[in-house]
Amino acid sequence: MHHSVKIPVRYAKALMMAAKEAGRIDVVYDDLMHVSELLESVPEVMNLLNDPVIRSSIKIKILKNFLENKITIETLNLIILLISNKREKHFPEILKVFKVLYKHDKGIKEITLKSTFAPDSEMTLRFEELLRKNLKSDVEITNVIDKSLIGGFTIRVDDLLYDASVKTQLKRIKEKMTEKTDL
Amino acid sequence: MSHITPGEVSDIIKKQLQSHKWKTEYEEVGTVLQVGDGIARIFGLNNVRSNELIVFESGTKGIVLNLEEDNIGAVLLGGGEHINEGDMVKRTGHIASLGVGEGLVGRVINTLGTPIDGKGGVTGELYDMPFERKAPGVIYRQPVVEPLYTGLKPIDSMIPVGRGQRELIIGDRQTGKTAIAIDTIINQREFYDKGEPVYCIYVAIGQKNSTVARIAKILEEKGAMKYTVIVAAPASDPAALQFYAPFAGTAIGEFFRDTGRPALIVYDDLLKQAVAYREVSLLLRRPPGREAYPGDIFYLHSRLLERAAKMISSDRIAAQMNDLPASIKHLVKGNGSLTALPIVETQAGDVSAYIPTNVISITDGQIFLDTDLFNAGIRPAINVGISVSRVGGKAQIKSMKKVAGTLKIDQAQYRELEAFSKFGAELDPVTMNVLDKGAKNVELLKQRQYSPLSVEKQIALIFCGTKGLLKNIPVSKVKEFEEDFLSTLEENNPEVLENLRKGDFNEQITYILEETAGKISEKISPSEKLNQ
Repeated sequence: MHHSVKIPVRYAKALMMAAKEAGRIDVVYDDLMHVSELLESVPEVMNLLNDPVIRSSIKIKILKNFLENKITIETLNLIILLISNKREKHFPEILKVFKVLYKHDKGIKEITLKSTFAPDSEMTLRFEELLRKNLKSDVEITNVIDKSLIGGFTIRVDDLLYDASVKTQLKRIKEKMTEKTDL
Repeated sequence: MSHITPGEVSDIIKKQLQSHKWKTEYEEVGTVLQVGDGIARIFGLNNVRSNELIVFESGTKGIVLNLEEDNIGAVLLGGGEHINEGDMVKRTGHIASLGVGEGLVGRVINTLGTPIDGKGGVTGELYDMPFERKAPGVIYRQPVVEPLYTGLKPIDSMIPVGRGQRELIIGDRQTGKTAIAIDTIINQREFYDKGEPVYCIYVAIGQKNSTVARIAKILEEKGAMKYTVIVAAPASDPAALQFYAPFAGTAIGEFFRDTGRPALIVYDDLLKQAVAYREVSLLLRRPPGREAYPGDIFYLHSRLLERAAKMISSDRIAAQMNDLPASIKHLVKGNGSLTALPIVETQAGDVSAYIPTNVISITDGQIFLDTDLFNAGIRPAINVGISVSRVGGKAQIKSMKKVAGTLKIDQAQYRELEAFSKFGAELDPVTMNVLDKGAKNVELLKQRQYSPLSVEKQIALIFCGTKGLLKNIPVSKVKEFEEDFLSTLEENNPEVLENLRKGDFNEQITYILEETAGKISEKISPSEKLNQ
C-alpha cells in the first residue's frame, strides 16, 4: 500500500482538538470504538466506504440514516467530512491514530505482552502492578501468544521493548559464537 | 595444523556457552509503516539520530536519513523482500560505520566492509571508522608538498598531482579514464617495494561485476593488490550501498591518512553515485532541483572530497584533530595524506552539465580526456590545453620543473600552428621547427596502458623533447628512440637517473643526456642526418 502516512495523523489530531474544545473526548472515543466494532462486524459498511463507484452524497445519506442519533455530532461530522473529501479509505488508520492520541491524553500506557502461553489472572495482575510502579502511569495490557519465542516474554511500551525471550538469547549466543572465528 | 580432538572442541564451545550472560535491557523499537523501492517509513523510534544504523526484524540493516514530524525515512542496505508492514525495527545506537584495519589491504569488499572476494574473513584488528565524518580543520593541514606520481608522462610533467590533492579525471565514455587511475595505482608499486607504500583504494560505483573482477585481476597480476583495497558497489547493489560506497572508501583512506601514511583513493565514478543519491532522495520525497538532483547534491560531493588532505607533520597537533573516531585515537600520527582522484563521465564532451561543473569547482584541477584524441591514437588522450592542476606544481621536483617548464606552452603553440598548417600554406623555417618539435613531443608523450614510467625516466625523455634532440628522428621512430635511449642510459649512466630522481639538474647531466640522445639519434636515422 502506497498511501501517505500523514493524512490519518492530521485528521486524528484535528478530531482530538475539536473533541477537546467541546469537552467530549470520552464520548467521541466511545463513539469511534463503536464505529470501529461496526466496521469489523459488518464488512459491508467498509465495502460501501471503499467503493469508488458510489457517489459521496449517497454514502453520506446511508451512513446518516443509521448513525444519526446514535453517535455525537463531532463523530458524525468527521465521517461526513472524510467522505466529502474522498478520504474515507483512511478511516481505519484514523481510528488507530486517534486511539493512540486518546490513550496519551489520558496518560494510559498501552502495553503488549508477548509470551508462549496465556498468563493466568494472578500473573497478569502482578505484571500490571509491576509495570504501573515502574512506568508511573496507568497501564492497559494486551496479551499476545507467540509460540516462536520458545520461552520467556517480551514487553512493549510505546517505543521501548523489554526482550526476555529465549529466542533472542539463543540468537545472541549464535552471534557471539560465529563472530569469533579465530578460536 | 596440530591434532584437535573432538573433546577439545566441545570443551571450548561449552566454555563459551557458560560465559554467556543472560542480560536483557530496554531497547528502542519502531514499526514499519511502509516499505518499498529500497526505502522504509517507520513509526516510533522517537530518539533515533540522523545517519544512525537501524536493524529490521529480518536482519536487514538501514540508515536513517529523514527525521519527520510523525515518521522517519530510512534507506535499506539490503533487500527489502523480507520486511513487512508492521515489522519491528530496532535502534543500534551506532552511526553507520565500517571496520578498517591492515587486514583490508589486498581485499575486495562491499560498502559494509564484508569481503566479497571469497578469501574468507578479514584478519587482524579492525577499527571502527564512520562513513560520515567532518574533514580535518585548517590547523591540522599543510599545503601540498610531495608529488604523487601517476607514472604517465603528460600528467607528471604538465598536470602534476601532489599528495593530498583532489584531481578530477573527466571525459566521455571509452576515453581511458579508468585506465589513468589504474596506471596510477600500479605506479605506486615502486613505493611499496621501497617499503614506503602509498595505500590505494579503488571505489567502483555502479559498475558491472565483470569490470570489477577484471580490474582486481589486473591489479593482482601487476603486483598492485598488495597495497590496494577495492570497495565495490556494483550496479546490482541497492542505491543506498552505491551512494555510500565512496564514503566507505574514504573511511578506509582516513585510517591510513590519520596513522601518518600516504593513501590514494579513486572514485569511479561520481556521476553514478550522484544518480544513486538522486534515486534515494526522490523516493524519500525530498524536493528535486536541477536535473531532478536534490538540493544537497553539491554538499554530497564537497564534503566527500574535502576529506582528502595533506596532514600537518607534527604528531602532537595531529593528535588533537577534530572529529577523530575514538577507535584510532591512540594511533594518530602526523604527515599522512589522502589524495583523491574522482572520475566523472560526461555525455558528448559536455562539461557544463550539472555534476561535472560541480565536481570541477570542488577539485584542485582536472585531467580532461578527449574522444577525438583517443581515436587519433593519442593515448592517454589527455587534452593538455584545458587540463590543469591548481596546486600540484608546488610539489613537482626541481629537475622535472626545469625540464618540463616550457612543454605546456610549446604544445599549445604547436596546436595553434597545426591548425594553420593544414591549409597547405608555405611555412617559414621557424614555424616548421615548432611544428616538427610539437609532433615529436606528442609522439613522445604517448604511453601504453599498464606501463607507468618512473619519474627520472620521464624527465630524461622530456628533456630530449623540449631540447629538440629528436629533430633528426622521423615521427614513426620516436618510440624506438625512447626505448633505446632509456636502456642505454640505464646501462651506461645509472647515476644520472639517480640524480634526476633526487631533483638535481646540472650541466654534467645535460651533457650526458645530450650525448646519449645524439648517439642514438645517429644510430636510428644516419641517412637523414647526411641529407640535411
